[in-house]
Amino acid sequence: MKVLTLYFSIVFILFFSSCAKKITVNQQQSVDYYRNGKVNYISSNKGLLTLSSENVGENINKAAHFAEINALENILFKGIQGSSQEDPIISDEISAFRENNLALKSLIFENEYKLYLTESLVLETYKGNPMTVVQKVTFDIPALRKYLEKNNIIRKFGL
Amino acid sequence: MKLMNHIICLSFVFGSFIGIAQEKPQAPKSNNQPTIMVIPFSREGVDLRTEIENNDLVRIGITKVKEAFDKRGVNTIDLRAKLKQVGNTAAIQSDQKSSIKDEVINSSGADIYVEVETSPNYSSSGNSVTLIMTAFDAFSGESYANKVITSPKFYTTSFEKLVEKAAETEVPNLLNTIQEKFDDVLLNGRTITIRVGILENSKIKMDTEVDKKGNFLSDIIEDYIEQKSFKNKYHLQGATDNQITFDIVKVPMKDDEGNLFRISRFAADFRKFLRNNEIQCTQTINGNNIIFSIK
Repeated sequence: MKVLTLYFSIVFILFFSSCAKKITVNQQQSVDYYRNGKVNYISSNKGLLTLSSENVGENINKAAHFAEINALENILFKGIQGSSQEDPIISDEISAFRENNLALKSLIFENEYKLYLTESLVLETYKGNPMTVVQKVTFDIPALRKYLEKNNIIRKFGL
Repeated sequence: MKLMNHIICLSFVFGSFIGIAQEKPQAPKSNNQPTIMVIPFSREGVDLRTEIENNDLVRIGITKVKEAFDKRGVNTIDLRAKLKQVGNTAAIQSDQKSSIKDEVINSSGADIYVEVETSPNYSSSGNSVTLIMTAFDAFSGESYANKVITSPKFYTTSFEKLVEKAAETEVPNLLNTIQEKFDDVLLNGRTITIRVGILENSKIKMDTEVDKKGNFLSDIIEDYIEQKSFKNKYHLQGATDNQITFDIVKVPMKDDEGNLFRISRFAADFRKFLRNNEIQCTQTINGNNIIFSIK
């Protein structure tokens, strides 16, 4: 009986920890990722959309990583004013996550987005705790859109 | 040992359960890709052919907008090829009365046409181009989306580049707005209007009883429209002795087979319904308006 109880405890812990969306850096000085609207349009050229994105992290690498995710989430769920992507690519974030959780998580939180990230440079850093980074990122929008279409997250243009 | 076997079995069951829950296959979301034709905006009295032949900037504008659509993988129809085709037909049918624009749109088979207007802006601080794009439903003439963009200013007279830049930025937004309209139409249906009138020499009126239950003609018509409209959405604008008008009747975008819903089919079914009630009528379809005249 004890073995069985122990087994289920382990399974539940593994199960719930695998479903958690939260990104943590370090248990002692962890900085959770959170989305913000500090994403601004810089330029676009032949489907490549360049933005500046600000976020915070425990160190410069983590802050830059969170800034990349932040830019991507703004493109996907909010839209970038003044750019060729003024409307969000995914109009309903909640239902998209409900219906395509795995593909979206994989894209955003498991680094698959880096396939569509053609450039990522640190523009500015502000030291402190946590550290703030303004990152210049460029995404290949047509390729990103194809990934979303292939995974049935968005529909192809049409009826 | 038995306990271990149970644990192994449970692991498989639990593991497969998680697998099923997480890897639920997605049903393919089928969609018909509409065809789009890009045409120049033409002022009153100026036909498409003149506009496209005499204005370089217009020619560049429609080419760049068409290119931007092509890059997004949208089916486009080439206007110049269609103009040539219409020109050949016009030579044969010299008594045609409709404008070249109507001819081109009707014969193209395009679902959507996008009117493009380009105007150069000259200033001492640099030149720019204003690009206006308006998308219309080719069938009903309903406007789907409008976008206006002015390119950044440059000290150049190479307006081709400026138009290209403006088109590249704004066409994705135009497509997104059109797609939102499509999504709304798929969800809520397309709007048509229906007017049923009674010809002067007819023996029946809207308040004539037409069945054994004592229903008036207007009652059975309204019941039919309610049943056949998409999600039972319709609006009765008004009814008199001689006429009943529905200004909003929602019809689906696609039929049961997944093909685009044809209004002519809706009209034919309605005509057959009246015929089953021993009422004869004629029908006229104009865009998304259907007019029935009861004899």
